[in-house]
Formats: sequence, C-alpha cells, structure tokens
Amino acid sequence: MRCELIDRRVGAYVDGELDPASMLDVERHIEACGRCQERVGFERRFRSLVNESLTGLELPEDLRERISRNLDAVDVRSEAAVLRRRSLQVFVAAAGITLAVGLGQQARLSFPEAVVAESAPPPQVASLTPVFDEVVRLHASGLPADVRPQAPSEVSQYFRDKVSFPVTPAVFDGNEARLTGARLHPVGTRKAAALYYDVGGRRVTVVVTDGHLPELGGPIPEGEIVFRDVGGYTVPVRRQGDLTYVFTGDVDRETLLRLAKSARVGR
Amino acid sequence: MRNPIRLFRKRTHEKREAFELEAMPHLEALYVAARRMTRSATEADDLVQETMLKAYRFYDRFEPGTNMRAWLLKIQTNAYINRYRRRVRERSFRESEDAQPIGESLMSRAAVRALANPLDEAHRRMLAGAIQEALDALPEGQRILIVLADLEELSYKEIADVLGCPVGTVMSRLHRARKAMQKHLVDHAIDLGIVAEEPVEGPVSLETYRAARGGAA
Ligand SMILES: [Zn+2]
Repeated sequence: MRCELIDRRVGAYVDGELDPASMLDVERHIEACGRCQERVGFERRFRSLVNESLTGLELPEDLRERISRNLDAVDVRSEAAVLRRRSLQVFVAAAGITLAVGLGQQARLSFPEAVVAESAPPPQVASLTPVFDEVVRLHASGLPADVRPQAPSEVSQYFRDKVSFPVTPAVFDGNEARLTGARLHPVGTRKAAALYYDVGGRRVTVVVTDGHLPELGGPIPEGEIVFRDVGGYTVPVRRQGDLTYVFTGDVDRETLLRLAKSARVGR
Repeated sequence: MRNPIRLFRKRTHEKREAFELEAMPHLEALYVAARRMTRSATEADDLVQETMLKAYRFYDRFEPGTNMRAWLLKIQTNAYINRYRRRVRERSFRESEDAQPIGESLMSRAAVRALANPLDEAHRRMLAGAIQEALDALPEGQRILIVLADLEELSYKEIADVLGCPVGTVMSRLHRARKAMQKHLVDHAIDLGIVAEEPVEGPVSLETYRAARGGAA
C-alpha cells in the first residue's frame, strides 16, 4: 500500500472505523514506514488538540434552570389540553384548579380600580377564543426570543421592518418586570410582537398586535382591562390607541391583572 | 374510581423524571456542540433550549437502549441546519462544499514530526486559538462534521444517521474537513515558530515526496 493511500485513511484508522481488512493493510504499512508512523502520531495529536481546545465550555449560569421552566410549561400545557378534551366541569372540580374556557368567562374590569369577578363554571367548552389560546400556547411553549435587548428601544428597532405598526414595549411600575427578549410571532392571521418579561423569576409574555380582537365582540374602551381564563392561564387584554396588548404568564391572576393595569403602554 | 387527571399527572411526572435523568446530563455536550456550530453564545443558548424542548416533546420516540447523546445531537444538528438554511435560503451549502478540490498534499514532514510529539503547555495554548480559528473558518457542513466526530466523538454510523447520508460520505467529508484544519494549524505553528520549516525539503507535495522516496513501501 502506498503512503498516499495511508494519508487518505489515517483519519478513519485513528477513529477505529476501518473495516478489518483495511485496518490490517494500514497496520502492516505503518510498521515498515517511518513517515506514516509520524503521520499517525500527528493525527492522534491533532485529535486531542482539537478536543481539548474546543470543549470544556461552561454552561450559561441559568440555562439549566430556564430549560427546566420550559419543560414545566410543556407539562402544564399538556395537562391543560387533557383537561380541555375531557368533560370540563367534572375534572375542573376534581383537580381543583382554575380552568375556564368560553364566552361566559369574560370579565370586564373598570380601570383603575380593578375588581376581579369570580365567574361561574362555563356552560360550554367550544373554543371561541383563538387569539387567547394562541397567546397561551406561545407562552407555554417557551419559544426562544429573537432578540435579547439591553434597552426597550432595541425592541422597537427590531420590529421596525417586521410589523406594520410601531412596537413599544410595555413598561411596568417599580421595575417589577424586566424585559428579557422579544420574538416575531404570528397570532392567527396577524403579525404580532411577543415580548418576554421576567417578574421575580417567573415568565410573563405580552403580545402586541394591531386592531381589535374579534372574539371580544368590539373594541374595549381604552383604559379598561378585559380578561379570560384559558388553559389554566389568566389572559388580560388592554387596548391603547390602535394597539392591543395581550398579557399572560406564570404568575397568579392578581399579579397579572395588576401588571396589566400598571403597564405603561403606547408611545 | 380511578381519577384520570391524577393518573395523567403521575405519568407526566414519571416521564419528566426519566427525561431529567437521561437527557439532562448531556446538556454540557449539547452546549459545546451548539457553541461550535453557531459560533455565538446567544445563538447556542437558544439552540440548546429549542433542542431540549423538542427532545422532551418527542421523548416517546427515543428508542431505549440506543445512544441518548447521539439522539439529542441529531435533534440539535437538524434544528441548527434548519435555522442556517432559513438564513442562506437558496444556497445549498452541502453541494457547494463537495465542489471544492480535496487538496491532498502539502504537509511538511518536519511539521508532522514536530506536532506528532507531545507539546508543552505554552505551545498547546498558543495552538488552541489557531484551532478555533480553523474550525470557525470551515464551511458549515464540514464544521458540523468536526463537531460531531472530534468534539462529540460520535461513530461514523451515528453521524451518518444524524445527517441522513451514507457512511462513506461521512468518511470522505470528514477527511476533507480535517485536512483543511490541519493545514491551518501547521501554517500557524510555523508562524509561531513552534514548527520549523524544513529548509531543504520544505512543504512538499505528496507526489514529489513519493517520487523522491521511490513511491512504495
Ligand atoms: Zn508510508
């Protein structure tokens, strides 16, 4: 066997990936050829240099934790789906969790004095709330952000050529919520901007879109908050000018309503 | 009476526990692969998250007893390729790479000899930078191969399964990728004075070398 052939096979030889016959050929040649012995030594050295130079990176500090939360969201979502598929009233009672879908669940809060109305069990389960469902689905899936901004203005900049309306991230009183990222994500047939916030270590998603939500039956008066409970999540909605802000998150209903109320939205 | 919700929760809990036990220990490996493929800490972070989400959703498709790390890397590599494709759209990177000449030759014996011997720590550190540069400079498809073969140490068969191509293709492309990196490394080692250029022999082509040596063994 010629040295040239050894050169072609030296990688597979070092990897132990040659078939037994070729392996034997290579070994026989190497025993007799100093040049190719060196070539094998070089290949081994190269391999260990590559490995030690390029591995051994430390995981980002909170990556493990974020993944864990993403998986939690998957679990919550699949449970919500199971609940929805089954006879709702029975299992809501049995599981003792808040879960309500349907038109009957719409509550209107007057602003600024938000009062949370307790709603009766829904008479039907049909999904009349596509946008609400989609926002909950987006939140629960924990899809990664397209941008992780240092300042809210970076988010406006990012969406400038992607959606037909100006995106101004909601700002919350007392820095209670920190903007962590944003993602272009369609809601129904609309383009929408999903904004990700961190509220005391929990995720909150705010979806901004233009126009009114058909499932609300008409425009919400500016300054009022309307919410629905979907798949175990509370989903408050707020309008500011032409823009509609839909909120949801891994926080309790009171916190979410308070956030929706205190958010400074619009220009 | 059985409570279906409690049953569902129990099953979810068991699935989650099994996943944490089997998949989570490979997080470092996934992150290294993601960093080297994407060349960006932010993108790597996103990619690993996407991978773990997908793996968890499709966990029931994992065949018990097979290599979990290879399965996760398959999900991640495909997610990465999809992202990359979206960015370059019309250009098929795999084909364009095959069009390049293989460039057999041009490895000086002195360089081979010098680098075949153990290097001291300082030299190793100097070469680490060159190696990362060399990897970053590789075309997408070749970089993926180095990551899977030399960083993650998957077998050719596992790599072929990840990329959906024949084992022979893995072997020849990997050869080409390593060759390119080795050339970069040797050039760099010469620049750093770690390896002396052999004054008489110099970097010779294999043809010349064989001619000088009689060609056969
Ligand atoms: Zn030889």
